[in-house]
Amino acid sequence: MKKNITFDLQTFSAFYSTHKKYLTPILMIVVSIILVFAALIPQLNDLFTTLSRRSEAMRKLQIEKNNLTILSNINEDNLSAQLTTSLRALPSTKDFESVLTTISAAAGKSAVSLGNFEFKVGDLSKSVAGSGEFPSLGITLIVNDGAQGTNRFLTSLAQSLPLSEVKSIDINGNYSTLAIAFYYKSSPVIKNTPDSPIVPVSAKQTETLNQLTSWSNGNLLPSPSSLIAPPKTSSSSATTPF
Amino acid sequence: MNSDINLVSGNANALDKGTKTLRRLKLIGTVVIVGVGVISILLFLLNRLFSPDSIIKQQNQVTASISLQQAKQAKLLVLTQRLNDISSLLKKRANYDVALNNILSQSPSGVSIVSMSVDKKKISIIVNSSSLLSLNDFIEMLKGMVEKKQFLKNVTINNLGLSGRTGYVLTADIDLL
Repeated sequence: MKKNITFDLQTFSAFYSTHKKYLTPILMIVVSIILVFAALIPQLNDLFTTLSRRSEAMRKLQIEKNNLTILSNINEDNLSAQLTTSLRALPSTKDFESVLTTISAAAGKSAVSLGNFEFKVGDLSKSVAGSGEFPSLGITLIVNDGAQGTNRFLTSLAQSLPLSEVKSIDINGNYSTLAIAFYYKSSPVIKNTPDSPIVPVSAKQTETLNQLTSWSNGNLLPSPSSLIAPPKTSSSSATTPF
Repeated sequence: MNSDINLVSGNANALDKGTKTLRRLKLIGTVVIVGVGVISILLFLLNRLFSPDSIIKQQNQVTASISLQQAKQAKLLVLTQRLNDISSLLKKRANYDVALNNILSQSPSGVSIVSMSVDKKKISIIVNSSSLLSLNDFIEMLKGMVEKKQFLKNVTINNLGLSGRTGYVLTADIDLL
């Protein structure tokens, strides 16, 4: 049997007057629960966000402080000189003048005379910036000397700037044909944000720099007299292209 | 005495129970709301305390100092990058001069190089000598260099013959390490 429950104003007021003393604490608990969801949890999230932002800011500050220390400890004149040396070793463009100077100096130092030479310039429109490969300027040249003279020339060239690599050697009696590649690499666009760590020149890199500097110092242009081929007993004519 | 008929005592118990519940409720309500308030204030204070604003301000000052040395920074970046390139270039480039120097410096006297071709880590060499003993010394020298793994990996003697004009001629192919 269904029982009807009537809940009129009178009943409500009777219920209220009996239970009103419970209303305040229940309301307090309900408000507290609402506050937990509406205020405490967002505040807690804010705290976690703040902490993570703080640790990120601390990390960036530390990096920037280190960067500043590194930069402050660098002598700008030395840095410029080192950069010049490194750019002489690996120029950013095809540097014909340096190549000719280097070949000439190597010939002078090794007391050999040079014959004809031919540049292989390649595709000028081709861009190789940032490709990881080293583009090169190829040159084929004739050394008017046998194995010993060619060897002296190669040793001298290997310790010269700009850096080169001998691709092929063809020694035939009193003259040799050499194919040499002189490397260059265009400078890539450097994207640097203030908070990315600056890496100073490492000990290994300093070693390389010292090696390059020693090669660079020995790379000075020889006196014109040293370019004149030494007297030869063979019939081949000694002509110097430079 | 039957307690069931003691109406006063039962009513007093019920009242006591209601008061206790009310007290408990009031206590819980007060503790909870005060607790929420205290935690909220604590969280607000912690948020203020750990605010990264001061660090960001300090960071901006350092950034400003670094930007004064921007040229130096750019030079350093280019230098380190170029030195990395140079190191890898020096590591990968073929040092034919060293191999050639070794062969020439260790060649026995009386042996002269007629022709030599070096390409892609391979040397083709033709030498001549008036003495077979000298040529034997030359072969022994090459063999020794292969055994010691001194720039040479493999030597193949292609031909050893007698030429009327120049004496004995030896043709060999050498693979470089």
